[in-house]
Amino acid sequence: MSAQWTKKNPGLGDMESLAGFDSALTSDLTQLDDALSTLLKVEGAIHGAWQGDARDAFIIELAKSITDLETFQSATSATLTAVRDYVTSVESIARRADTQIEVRDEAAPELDRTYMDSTTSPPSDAVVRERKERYDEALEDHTSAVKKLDGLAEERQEADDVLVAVLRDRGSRITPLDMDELLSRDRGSIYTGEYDYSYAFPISDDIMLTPEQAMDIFKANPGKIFPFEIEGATTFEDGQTIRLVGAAPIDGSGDVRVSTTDTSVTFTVVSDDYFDGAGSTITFRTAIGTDGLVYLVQDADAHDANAFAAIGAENGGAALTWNTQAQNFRDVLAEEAAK
Amino acid sequence: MDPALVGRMGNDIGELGMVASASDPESAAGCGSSAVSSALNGFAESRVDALKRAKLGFSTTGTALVQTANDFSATDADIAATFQAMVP
Repeated sequence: MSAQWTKKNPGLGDMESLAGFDSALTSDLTQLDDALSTLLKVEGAIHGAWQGDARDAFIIELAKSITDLETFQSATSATLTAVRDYVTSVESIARRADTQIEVRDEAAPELDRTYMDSTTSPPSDAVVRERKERYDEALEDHTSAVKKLDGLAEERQEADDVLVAVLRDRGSRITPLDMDELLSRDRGSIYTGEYDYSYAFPISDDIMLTPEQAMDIFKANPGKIFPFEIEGATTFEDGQTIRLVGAAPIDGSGDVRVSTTDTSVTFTVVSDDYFDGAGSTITFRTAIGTDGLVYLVQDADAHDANAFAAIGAENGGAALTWNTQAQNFRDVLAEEAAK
Repeated sequence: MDPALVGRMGNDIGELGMVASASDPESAAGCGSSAVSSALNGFAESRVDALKRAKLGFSTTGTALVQTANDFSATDADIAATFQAMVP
């Protein structure tokens, strides 16, 4: 870490330490450009393709998202420009300050020198005159350098003030007041959802296939059957702890404990980074339906869940995932039957 | 409604939520000015919050669109209520 700049050296500061900031903001702008491009494309396509209350509600949210992103983009762009201008200014100040510091420091010893080092006593007039000329010259150089350094210090202060003002102004524009509440990561306000559901999908019309046999195949093929990544298991075993990765768009990764029976596998959430709270369960079981078909049933019982996930689940969002799972299961059963 | 189109929109927007990220810049404490360094840190915190918010918005919106495209049992009013509930 370099020292704080002073009037004696207004160019102090490692501008390389701002390179990471520049890089992060540049990366943000690329992401924001991409996101805005997608949202504007959706906004253009939605008209005529969808009618009704739902579309109207979506358009309101979309317009708000676009406005937020444009504000964010504008703030990021202005901040990046301000940071780059600051770096340019400080580098210029540092170069000029170095020159003046050299002049000042070269003059200083001459100002401190006394007549005592003269070889004659008293010194001759010529020596006194020569010394005085050197002293006056050094004093002039020193005074001029200090004055210029003072000017550069004012310039540095102004550069600091401009950047600080931009950072505070732009930073305040991209931070809504309700951010702490909205983005609480301590499983606080948005982790209040509760939901339960039960879906059942037919997976086989093979009258020879028992629920136990189907479940054996389910347990042996999690990688092929689940529509998201399972870490820590290539097969399901009772008592193991595994990690679900990308099971939902929000907080979709978390640790679960596996418990099994002959016809079921149950996940119980054990970590606090998942969209469902610890202790929430989902059971995958196989059963014969009244129509004689073999079914895969998914029973969920969640609490302390991300409120958005709960809304999604209650409106059928989970059905999409589990329908995909059932289709994958059918494919695996077909592969097994073909062996 | 064209479910395929709405579903694609949901996937496109949801994907933004999956990839949006905030890389943490290194500390600017060496820049020679504690005021500038402090203001940079303040902006960096706002920026991370804003990116999280955008990511959350993309994810929820994408999810809602996909489920809208696939959930034929939900009424138009149900889906509208879902979107309205998601507006921060």
